Amino acid sequence: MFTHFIEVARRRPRSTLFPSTTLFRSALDWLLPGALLGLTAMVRPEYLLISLVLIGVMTVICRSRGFGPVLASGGLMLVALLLVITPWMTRNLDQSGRLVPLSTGGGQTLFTGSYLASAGDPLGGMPGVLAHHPRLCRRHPAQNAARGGGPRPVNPERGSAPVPAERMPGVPADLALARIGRENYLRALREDPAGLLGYFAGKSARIWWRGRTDLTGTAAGRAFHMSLVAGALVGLLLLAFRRRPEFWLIFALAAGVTVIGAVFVASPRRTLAFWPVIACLTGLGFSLAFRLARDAVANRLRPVPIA
Amino acid sequence: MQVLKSYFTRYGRGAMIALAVIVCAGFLVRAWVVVNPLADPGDDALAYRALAEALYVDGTFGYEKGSSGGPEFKTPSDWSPGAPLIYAGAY
Repeated sequence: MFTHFIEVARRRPRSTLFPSTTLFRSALDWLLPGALLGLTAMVRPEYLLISLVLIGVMTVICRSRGFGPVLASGGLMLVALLLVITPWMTRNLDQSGRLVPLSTGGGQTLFTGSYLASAGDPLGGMPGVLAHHPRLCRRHPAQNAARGGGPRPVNPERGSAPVPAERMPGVPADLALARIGRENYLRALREDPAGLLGYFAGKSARIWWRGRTDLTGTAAGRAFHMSLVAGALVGLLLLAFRRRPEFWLIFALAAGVTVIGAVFVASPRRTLAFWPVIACLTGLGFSLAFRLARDAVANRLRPVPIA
Repeated sequence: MQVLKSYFTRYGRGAMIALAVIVCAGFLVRAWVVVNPLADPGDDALAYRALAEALYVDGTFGYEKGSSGGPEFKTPSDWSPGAPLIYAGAY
């Protein structure tokens, strides 16, 4: 998806020798990435927001093509995206009576993500939640058995289940949790803005430097993960110097993922759909490092002229 | 075919073969995990599995009340719709 997206941003406008065919193909150039963004959002709902950011960046990158064509292109992408997600949006409207674009999980993740005592680790706050709600502990074994899981404790989302009914009775759970999450952030902003900034920074770092614990739990796994991300950073810098349109698109994607991770639950899954791009950037970064090292060795071995 | 040829010309045969190998390796790793699932997956994984199973067995997004396929899934709308669709394909 990302390669097609970037290709469309870089491509010159198609020739107008055969207007009808060209018009169809030009439309397809924008409809396809829009539909692919919609499909991505269906898998990871947070990418709906990121898709809107990407469409905005794309229209800015292509602004030299003229106001009308750029507006039409952005509109086509938006239409394609909406076409993909509208059936599910309609189903949600039927079931809940509310306009929910993809899922109602956002409230939970905002609530969990705004728990500053967790220091950015969504599981870190669980002991405190369980201590305040001992009946949750009693409920877990039965819930885990029903889901076919082991005796491990619950994830934070399930831990937050009784909160809405206690604090905002009558309000749908996801809306109540979203409101409480917003209140938590606003309170932190008023009382300790520096602390909140540090909290966001810690969470942003968490989604990039900490991979999946089962894969990066060991020192070697962690080192491997960190070298991949460091290589990707170098690759991104290289793009900034050599391929500016690609840089802005990928940077917008990375920034969007980071902001969402900082505000909601800081899970490495936020970067999941982005990993193919990270892998490409890592390749670029390592390739640059290899070339620099090779040139440095070649320069050292080159005979120095003696006057 | 023309598109493939242009990719071969642009990026070279070696790069395209390396890409194909990476894609195949990625697919094989995922297929292996489908056949040999984790013994104790995380809570989210269990939820996605339950949704995918319900899609495959009952054709519903989460088992509904009274379903013989499995226990009722209380809050299916909390989960993304696309992932269970993909996982249901693995069944």
